[in-house]
Amino acid sequence: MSAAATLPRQWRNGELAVMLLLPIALINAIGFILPVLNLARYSFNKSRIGGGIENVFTWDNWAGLLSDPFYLELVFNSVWISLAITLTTLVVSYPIALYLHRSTGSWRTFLTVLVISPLLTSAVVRTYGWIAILVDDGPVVSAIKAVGLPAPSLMFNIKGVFIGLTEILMPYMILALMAGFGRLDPRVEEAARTLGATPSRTFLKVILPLTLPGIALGCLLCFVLAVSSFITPKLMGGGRVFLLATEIYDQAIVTLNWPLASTLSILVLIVFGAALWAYSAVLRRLD
Amino acid sequence: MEIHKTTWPMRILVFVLFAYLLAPVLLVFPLSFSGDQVLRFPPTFWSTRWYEALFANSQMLKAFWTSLSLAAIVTALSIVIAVPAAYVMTRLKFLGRDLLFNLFTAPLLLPTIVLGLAILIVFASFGLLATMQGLVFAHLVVTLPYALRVLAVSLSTQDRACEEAARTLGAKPLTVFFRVTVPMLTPGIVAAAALCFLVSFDEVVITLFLTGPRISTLPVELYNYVYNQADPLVAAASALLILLTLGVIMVVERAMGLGKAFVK
Amino acid sequence: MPVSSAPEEHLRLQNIGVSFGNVNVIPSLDLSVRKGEMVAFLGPSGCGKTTTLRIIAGLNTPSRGHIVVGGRDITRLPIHDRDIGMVFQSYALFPHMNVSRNVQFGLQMRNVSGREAEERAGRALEMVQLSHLAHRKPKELSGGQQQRVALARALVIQPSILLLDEPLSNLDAKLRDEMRVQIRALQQESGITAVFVTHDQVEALSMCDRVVVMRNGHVEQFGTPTEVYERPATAFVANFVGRTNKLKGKIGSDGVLSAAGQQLHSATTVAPGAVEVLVRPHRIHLQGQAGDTREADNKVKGTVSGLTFVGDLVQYGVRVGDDEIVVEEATRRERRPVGVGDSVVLGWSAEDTLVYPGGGQ
Repeated sequence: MSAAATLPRQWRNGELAVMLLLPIALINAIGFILPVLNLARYSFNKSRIGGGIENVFTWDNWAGLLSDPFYLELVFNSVWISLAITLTTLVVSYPIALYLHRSTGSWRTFLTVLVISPLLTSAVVRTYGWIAILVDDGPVVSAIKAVGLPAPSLMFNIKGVFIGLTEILMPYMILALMAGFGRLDPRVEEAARTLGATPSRTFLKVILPLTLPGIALGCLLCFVLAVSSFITPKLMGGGRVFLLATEIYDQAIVTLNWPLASTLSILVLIVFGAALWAYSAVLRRLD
Repeated sequence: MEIHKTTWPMRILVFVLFAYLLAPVLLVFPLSFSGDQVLRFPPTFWSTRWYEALFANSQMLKAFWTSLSLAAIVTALSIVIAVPAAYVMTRLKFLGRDLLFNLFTAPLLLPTIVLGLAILIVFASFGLLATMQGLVFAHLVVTLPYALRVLAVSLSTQDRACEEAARTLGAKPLTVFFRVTVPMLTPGIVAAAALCFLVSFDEVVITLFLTGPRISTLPVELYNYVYNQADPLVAAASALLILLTLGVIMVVERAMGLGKAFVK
Repeated sequence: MPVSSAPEEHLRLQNIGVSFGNVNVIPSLDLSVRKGEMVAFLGPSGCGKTTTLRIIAGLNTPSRGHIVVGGRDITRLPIHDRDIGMVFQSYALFPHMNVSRNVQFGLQMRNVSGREAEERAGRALEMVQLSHLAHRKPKELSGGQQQRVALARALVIQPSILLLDEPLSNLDAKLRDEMRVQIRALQQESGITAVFVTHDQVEALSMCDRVVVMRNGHVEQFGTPTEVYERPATAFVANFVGRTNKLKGKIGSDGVLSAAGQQLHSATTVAPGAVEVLVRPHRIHLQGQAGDTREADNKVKGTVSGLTFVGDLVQYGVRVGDDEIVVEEATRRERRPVGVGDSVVLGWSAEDTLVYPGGGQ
C-alpha cells in the first residue's frame, strides 16, 4: 500500500522531467543528430551536376577521393600543417602559461583577461588584424626590408596562414596548459632546486614531466581546431591555400557537390577520431 | 621564494609572446582611425572617415541589427531552455543521465565546418535557409551546450540544503525553484547568457552556410568584405566589436568573476 | 490504520525502515519522543541518525513504517505541509536574502502579512541577539551568527518539532560551548520538542533530556544521559559514550566471573560464556594511597607502565597480565608519588564492573 501511495507522485515527476528536457532534446535531435547522420548518408549518395543528389548507394565518393592525388595531398597537407601549427602554438604558449601559473593576485587576473579576450573576439576580426600586419607593404615586411633583407611574401600563402592560425589558437593552448598546471606545486620545484638541480635540469626533469597531461590536452584541442579551421586559411590564403576545411566549403557552396563535401567532412571526423585515439594512448603512457 | 623570481630573459620572452598574442586585436584600434584609402600600417594620416563610412554602409548596419537581434533571441531562448534542462540533469537521478548530458553537449565537439554543412543539407529540405528562424535554430544548436554546461556546474555546486531548508519552511516545489534555486543561480545565468551572446554574435562558419542575400549577420558581412577588399573599414567595425566584447566580459566579471566562468 | 498515542507523547516513529535495493540501511526503528523534550540521536557516521532525522522532516522517504506527530500520521504528508523547523549542518541560509528576509521566508510561505512577518522575524532575531545584523547578507556573518540566524528561521514559524542536524560541527570549540548552552536555553524557553543529531557525545549528554544511541540503523539504547553513561545497555554504548577499559573474561558454569587472571565481582548477571568486562578509568582507584578510605569489591595487582599528568587529572597506564588498564585519579597534593615500574593495587566496586556477553571484538 505504501509503495502504491508514492507511485503517482514519482510518475508526475518523471513526466515533468521529460517535459523540461524536451526542447533541448528536440533541438539536439533536429539540429545535430539528424544532420550528422544525414551527412554520413550523403557520403554514399550520388551527386548530380549543379547540385542535388540521387538517392542511390554508391562507394564512388570514397573511391574517387582515395584515388585522386589532389585529395590525398590535401589530406596529407592538412594534417601535416595542423601538426606543425600545433607544435608552434605549444612552444609560444608554454612560457605564457608558466608565467601565468606563477603570478598571483590581480596581476594574474589581468593577464588571464588578456589571454581570454582574443578568444572572445571574432576570428574574422583577428584574421583581419593579421592581414593588416602581414600585407606586402605592412609593418612586418617594411621592417624586414629596412634591415636590408629581401622582402618575404607573407600574404596569400601558407606562411601567413601559419602565423595567423598559431596566434588564433594560442588562448586555447594557454588555458589547457594552465588547467594541467594545477598539479604543479611550486614546492616540488623548490625541492628539486634545493637538491642541487640547475634551473634547466629542474625544467626538464620536474616541470615538463608534471605538465605533460596539460600539454597533451592542449595539443589535442589545437590540432582539432587547426584541422577544422576555415576563416583564417580562406581569408589569408587568398584561394591559394587548399586545406580540408576550405575544400569542404568550396564543394558545398561553390561546386554544390554535397556528397563530396559530406565525404570530406566524414574524413575530417575520422582524422579527429585518430587524434583522440593518439591522445588517449599518450595519456595511458603517462599514467 | 627566491627560486621563483622570474628572470629578466623570461620576462622579456613573455612580453614578446603577449605582444604576438594581442597584436592583431590591438592593431585594429589605430588602424580604424586611418585616413588612407587602402590598408596600410602605420597610416600616413589620421581621420574618422572609416567610422563615417561604416555608419553610412546600410548593408553593414542591417547586418549588425540582424546579429544583435539574433544574439538576443538566441541568448534568451538558450537560458529559458537550458535552465530547466540543467535543473533536471543535476537534481534528478535517472538511468542514462550522463549519456544524455554528453549527447546534449556533443555539438561542441563537432567542427563548425562539418556542423555547418550538415545543418545546411537538412535545412535546405526544410526551407530554413536564409531565414531568421533557421539562424536562431542553428545558433541554438551551438549555444545550448555552453549554457547547459555552465548552468550545470553552477547548479551542482549550489548547496542543496538551501532548497531543502526552503521546503521544510513550507515552500512548495515550484516556489522553491523560483524563490531559491533560480536566484541562487543568478551568477551562473549571467555567465551563461554572456557566453551564449558572444558565441551567437561572433558565430561565422555555420552562419556562412545558412545566410544569403536576403539575410546576413555582421561577422558574415565582415568576412565577405575582407574576402573581397582590404581597406580600414573593417578595422572600424572590429574596434567597435572588441569594445562590445569587453563590455560583456565586464558584466560577467561583475557577476561571478571571469576565472570561474571561463577557465573551468 | 489506528494510531495509538500515549498522553504526553508528541513524536512517534513506528517500525520505520529504509532499504536501498537489498540493503537494509535501517531495518526497523521504533521511538517515542515526549512533548517539550530534547532528544539526541547519537552514533558514529553511517549509523542512520541523519537518515532518520531527514525522514521526520520528509526529506527522505522511508521504505516502510509511520511517523506520527501529535497523534497525526504525517508519513505521506509532503515536506511543505509538515510544519517542521530544521537547522542544517551548513545552516543553508539563502545567500541572496538578507538575515531578516531569511527569517521571514517561512512566515511568507504561511501567508503571514508583510508587517506581521517583519515583526515576528524581528522578535526571533532579538531572541538570538542578532537584531543589529538584520540587514546583512549571510556571507557577511560569522559561523556562530549564521547558526543563530538558522535557529531563528527555524523557530519563528513555531513548528511542532525542531530538528537539528549536527548544528555545531562547523563551529570552533569555544563557540560550540556557547552555542550548546544557547540552543538548550532557547529550546527550553519555547518548550518545543526537538531532535538533535550529533556524533559528539558531549553535545548529546550535556544538551539533551534523552539520548538515542544508534548503530547500523539500530537503536542500541534510549535513555537519559545518566542512564546511557552509567548503565550502558550494550558494550557498544559503553565504548561509544565515555572512555572505558576493556577486558576479556568469561563466566563459568558456576556463574563466577573471571578476567585479568582472577575472579571479579559484578552487579550485572550474564549467562555463562565469553564476556567483555568494561570499567571506566575514573572509577578505578590506586589502593593504599594515604587518606584513601574507599573500599573496593575488586582488587587487582599490576605494574605502572605509563603516567600522564593532565592538569587536574593524572592518567596511569597499569599493566595487569596481558591487559593494560587506564586509571584516572584526581590530582591531590598529599598523594604518595607513584612512578613507572611501581607495583600497585587497583580497586573498583562491583557496581562499576559492567559485563556484556560476547568475545568483545
